[in-house]
Amino acid sequence: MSYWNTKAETMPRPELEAWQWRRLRRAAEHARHHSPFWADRIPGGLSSPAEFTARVPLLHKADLLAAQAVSPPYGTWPSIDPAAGARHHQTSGTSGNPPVRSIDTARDWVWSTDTFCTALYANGVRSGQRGMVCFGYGLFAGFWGMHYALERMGCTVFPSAGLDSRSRIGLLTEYRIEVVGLTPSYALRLMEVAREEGVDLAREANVEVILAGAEPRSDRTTAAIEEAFGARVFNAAGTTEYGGVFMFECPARRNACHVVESSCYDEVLDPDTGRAVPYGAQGVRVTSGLSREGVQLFRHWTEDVVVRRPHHECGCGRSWDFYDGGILRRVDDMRKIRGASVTPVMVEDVVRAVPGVAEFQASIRTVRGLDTVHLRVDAGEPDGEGGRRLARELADRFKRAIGIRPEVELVPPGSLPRTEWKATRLHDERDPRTPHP
Amino acid sequence: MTNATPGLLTPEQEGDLVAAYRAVRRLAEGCEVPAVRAAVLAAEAELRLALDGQDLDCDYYVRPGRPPAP
Ligand SMILES: [Zn+2]
Repeated sequence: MSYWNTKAETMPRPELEAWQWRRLRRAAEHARHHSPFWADRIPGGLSSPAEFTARVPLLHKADLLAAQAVSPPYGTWPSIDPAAGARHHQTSGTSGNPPVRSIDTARDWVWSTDTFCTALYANGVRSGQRGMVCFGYGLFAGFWGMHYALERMGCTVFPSAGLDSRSRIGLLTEYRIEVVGLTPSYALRLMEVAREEGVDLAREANVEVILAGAEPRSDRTTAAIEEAFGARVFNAAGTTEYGGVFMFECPARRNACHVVESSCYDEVLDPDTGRAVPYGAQGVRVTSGLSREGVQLFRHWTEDVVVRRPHHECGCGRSWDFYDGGILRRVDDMRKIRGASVTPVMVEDVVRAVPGVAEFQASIRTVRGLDTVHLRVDAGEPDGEGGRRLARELADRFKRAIGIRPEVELVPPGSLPRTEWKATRLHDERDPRTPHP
Repeated sequence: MTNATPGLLTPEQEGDLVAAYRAVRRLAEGCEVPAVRAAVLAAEAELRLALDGQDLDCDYYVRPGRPPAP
């Protein structure tokens, strides 16, 4: 087994924890002295991680937005003079909510890139390979770090911003590109276009490693992507707020996403009690950054639901704990439908099990006082009997897995939204004033 | 020369890394040639990451404010 950084990745646990604490204390001191926002939240003289978690309040997105609003664009959050920032990025924002804006120094970008290198190296990427990043290269931080990481590792990068799916497939086959970065949703889109173009990606392209980040996905989706590309799919995740990759999937154990513990100090908390949960229990990931200096995070309530397991349950030799299955869902993603708990990943797992489904949208609605699920499915152009069979199979599977028989509507090919970034496929259209036990 | 352990720096290499970082920092503080200074600042960012990742002492956040103009 070889590692991008053996010292950091295999440091014995007690040393690693002592190192994290030294770095956390230094990062917190930097924040306290240079960011008015953090000066208000971090007390001086913290002497242990336990004291840190007891005395530093949880950070919610609304806190960051409020800090920004004090004096836009960055407000009181940054720990540097924004003029020292090498790059500005921001989240997409939503209606009524401004974006979270980040400012990074050149050193922050070196660190952020290194976290991507850690993931890519673990996934088998090596110098001399070719990589393509399917990404818009805009204000959203997204896969910028992967582009730099490929360069840093000695790979040749094909930046594909602005190219349509057909052109990207052309690059993959023409240049025998081995490494691809994209979202699972966009991988599915590439597969669909390749089918339309009569291109067998597994045979005609040469992809070996797919880094599919940014979205929770079902095992079924991962398997479909792996089969279509003839490549191994690895999970990884980072956020604009954090500034780098905080977890990556290990080749030694399927779905084990090691936490990059040299760069973050993570807690997993019960969403109801706020107390730390033991290994193996679901909780919300709360993260503190140890490396970034432009904007910093301490005890950020990420809303990611995870299950943490001890490092030794993975056989790779890393001393970093892992999140089993990566990010399972967002804490507010769970929907109650007639008493059953349903997440977007559960719905996706059922729908993707039916061969021929290219894209779908699911809506939860109230019909005559009862929760119902409406599935709109793009399955190409099946003939009448084929379409009826597919709809029946889908409804049966859904009923078996989730307990409700959905209404299935076949829609014309290409009529449902496709995306290069994250897709939303489960919509709750019920009246929010009505309780859903 | 100390025998190398695969994946780890030898003590000599650690010493060289720290010395390189200090030299680059000295240059960054005193150099007034824009082209050289820009290169030196980039090298400083890189070496800081290398030191940090090896758990070697280095200055954190040495220039939190506006960097001096190249
Ligand atoms: Zn592992």
